[in-house]
Amino acid sequence: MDLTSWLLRRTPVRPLIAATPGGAGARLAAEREARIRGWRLALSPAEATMLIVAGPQDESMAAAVETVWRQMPFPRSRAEFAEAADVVTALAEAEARLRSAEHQRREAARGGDAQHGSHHQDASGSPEHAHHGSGEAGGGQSAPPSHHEHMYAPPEDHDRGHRPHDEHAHHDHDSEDMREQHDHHADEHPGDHTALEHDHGGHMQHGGHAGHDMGGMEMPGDIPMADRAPDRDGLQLDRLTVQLGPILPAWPDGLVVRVALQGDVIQEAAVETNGSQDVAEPFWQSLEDGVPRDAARRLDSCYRLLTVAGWEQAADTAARMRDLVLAGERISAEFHRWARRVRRSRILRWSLSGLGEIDWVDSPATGDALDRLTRWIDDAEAELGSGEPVPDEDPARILEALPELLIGTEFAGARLIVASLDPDLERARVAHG
Amino acid sequence: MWAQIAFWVCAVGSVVTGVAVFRVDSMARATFALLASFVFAAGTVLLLNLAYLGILVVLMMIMEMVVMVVFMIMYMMNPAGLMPMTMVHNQKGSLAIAGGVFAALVAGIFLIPWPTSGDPRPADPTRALGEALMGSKMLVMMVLGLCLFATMVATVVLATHRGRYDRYGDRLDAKHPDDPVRGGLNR
Amino acid sequence: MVEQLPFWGGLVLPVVLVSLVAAAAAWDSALASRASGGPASALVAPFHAVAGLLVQQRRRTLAADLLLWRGGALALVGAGVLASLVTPLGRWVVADFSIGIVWFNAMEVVAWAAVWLVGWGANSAYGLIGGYRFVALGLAYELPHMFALITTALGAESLRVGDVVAAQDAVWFVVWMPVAFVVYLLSVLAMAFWGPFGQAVAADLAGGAAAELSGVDRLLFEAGRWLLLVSGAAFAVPLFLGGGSGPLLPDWLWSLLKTLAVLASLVWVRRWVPTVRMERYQEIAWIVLIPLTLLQALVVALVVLAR
Repeated sequence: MDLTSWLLRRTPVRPLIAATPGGAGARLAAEREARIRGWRLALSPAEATMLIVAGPQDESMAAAVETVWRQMPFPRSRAEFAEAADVVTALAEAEARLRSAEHQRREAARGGDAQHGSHHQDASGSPEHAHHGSGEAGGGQSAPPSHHEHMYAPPEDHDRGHRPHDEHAHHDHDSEDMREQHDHHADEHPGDHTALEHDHGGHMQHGGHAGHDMGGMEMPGDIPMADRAPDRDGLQLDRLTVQLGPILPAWPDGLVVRVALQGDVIQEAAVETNGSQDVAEPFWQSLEDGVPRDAARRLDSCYRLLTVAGWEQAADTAARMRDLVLAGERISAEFHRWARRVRRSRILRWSLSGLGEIDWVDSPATGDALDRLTRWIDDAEAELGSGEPVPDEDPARILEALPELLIGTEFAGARLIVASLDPDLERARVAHG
Repeated sequence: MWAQIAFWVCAVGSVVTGVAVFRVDSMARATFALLASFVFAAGTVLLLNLAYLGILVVLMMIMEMVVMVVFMIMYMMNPAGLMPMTMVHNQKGSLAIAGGVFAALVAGIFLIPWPTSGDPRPADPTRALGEALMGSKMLVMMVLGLCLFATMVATVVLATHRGRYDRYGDRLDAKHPDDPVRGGLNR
Repeated sequence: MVEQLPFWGGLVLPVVLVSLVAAAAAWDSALASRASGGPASALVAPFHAVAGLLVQQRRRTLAADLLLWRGGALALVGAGVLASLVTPLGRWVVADFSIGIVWFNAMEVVAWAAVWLVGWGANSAYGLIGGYRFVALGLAYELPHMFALITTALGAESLRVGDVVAAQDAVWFVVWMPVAFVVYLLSVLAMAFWGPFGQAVAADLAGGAAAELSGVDRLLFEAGRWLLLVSGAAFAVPLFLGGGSGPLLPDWLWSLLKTLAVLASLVWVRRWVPTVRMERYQEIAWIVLIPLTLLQALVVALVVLAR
């Protein structure tokens, strides 16, 4: 017996869950199963040892899933399942593959070349790059300058293959090939390893460089440059374009937000939804009567918001109660204890208040992030008590308002705002008519 | 013997990393080469039994370099410092100045009749140094310290982009300041 | 009062620190498992995690600055161990420097550079923001922290850790320097970016500064973080809790017990509070904590002058 297999058998499973559009039920099953088995969820591909693709196959997610998979170091394994019922077998098999030294060696020998991690490096000419660079360069060049007015694409006419060009157009004031680089860039890391674009704001000193195109030469790895733009204090500073989602911890399923960052301040934001097909029936509506589904959904939202707020304990408790509610059990005593603690936390109040203020009349989303969290808890309490379902805000309306809310916030604030709105994108994708 | 070795390691290390500042092609590496150079220099201070000063140099230099890094990120969102860059400007002029200063200092080493002392070393050289510097001049040093502090505050006040009228309104009667990001006190 | 160990003290120190890290990590894992309803085997989970990281492939990211990236993780471990050189266990200490308190502070500031390097070097936006947040945190916690350290030195009229312990023969410093003690504990949490100050490696940033680390590099980074937490907790004992003094038991055991108590409560804090956002803490640190610690130092200075 060799050391590697001895260590492999002890390797903890750290799953990274990627929910495809229409996969909310499968995601919940995966989260529950991981929790019961004591698998701590991974925060990034680098930390993950297992990739769980939960939900029906969807080509809009394929690129993101592949990128994340490529970024994961060995040992790794992958579980895919469409239905929540298949979760146990899928995860058990994936765990066996993860722990099998033979399987890992075979995979490493076979797939090592495509792996983002080990072998190819410092590669301006790496095949992966060349592919992405040329493969995406064709579509949708000449976006009219006014296009950025409509950054939120309604889900019906959404076509992911071509959108990025339009989204980027407004801050691509430089050149055609800059735009290409942006896209190459965004496509190379659609997951949560965020790609970086580079400029060199501080190199005014060597004037010789200023004029020429630095996109290709001297740039290690062909990494494109960042734009420069005035920041909120009126300085000309660099900025990065980063894509948030669709695979990100505690992030609404299927949401993609492209942001331009200066430091960690969001200067621009464009929202799109992922998914190439309509969803027949959103998961949360498909639950049978008698299950307090709105309470479960609120607890799920609380779980994510508390995760983003960095309160693991309260988040874990919310997730456990959500699973109990979905399984039809009563949780009132524990729920009240938890609710009291979350409501009373001064630090949480202090971190959430004033974030993402919305002034819609009579909307469940009105107020700031703290108001929304409090309302979720109240709603869940009400439904658990009286069985009365509670209304939810229209996800399309949230998506429309989102860019405006995010611009000017810092990264942490932006994540909290998104988590505090938690739009149910499956509802937004139901076929109209 | 060990002190000799340590001195030469520190001296050579300090010069080599100092040279590296101008040879590496990334801002981050230049910053940290400079930090390494200061840490080696602190080593020579430690060899003089000035423990407090030596450790303080390490402490302050790390903080200073990391603060410098904040400005780097501000102006260049350039993770991993990939953009090739150069730290050398006005090559001829700076060469002349550096050479001149070096020659003057070396000449000073050999030409100045340095005082020697037969007294034993003080038990705590840091304290002795402090008393020599400040013992009779405490008032001057305190006034100087206050002036420096006032200068810093005044510079910040003059340089700041947004004053209290921007934050609290023309009559200073706004309840909450109009800041891009809210602070922790909800003022 | 405090005696310096021969050279092998330096070899024993990492062993003691790593044992404390193991105990703390197991405790943390058990607490986490209880909340999420996971299996009871959580106590060994940290050891399995180490096994997993040992066998995991070391990842490289595109155009990373490998030297600085990996150097950062190493520096974090170095900082955690070196900071404890001056921490006495009962009567024994590895290095009895005359400026022990300044030494501790300098080593712990190495973490500033280390975390920033790890975040920056990976060439990832999340890592960059993580490093950025840690520098912001450093600027918030460092000054109150320094004033808290100086207050104890002022009370003992010496920067030597042994003298600080000796000065607490009658009354522990925690009794008449409560503000400094609380601020010190806050900054220990901050320097190990733990719990409420974990924004640099937070979930919202997909792991922040650590987002791109795998294998041995992640192991080093995590170990360095735990070592900083342990070193900080252990240093609270000679500074504020009377070092090894206590009835019946030998002094080294008292030191150990006090260290474990401080450590356990620091680990436990994470379960009870969410992450504090930097822009909010910054204002608290500068407008509330710095004046408070200065007042505390003034009170201590007056007491020292009067007695």
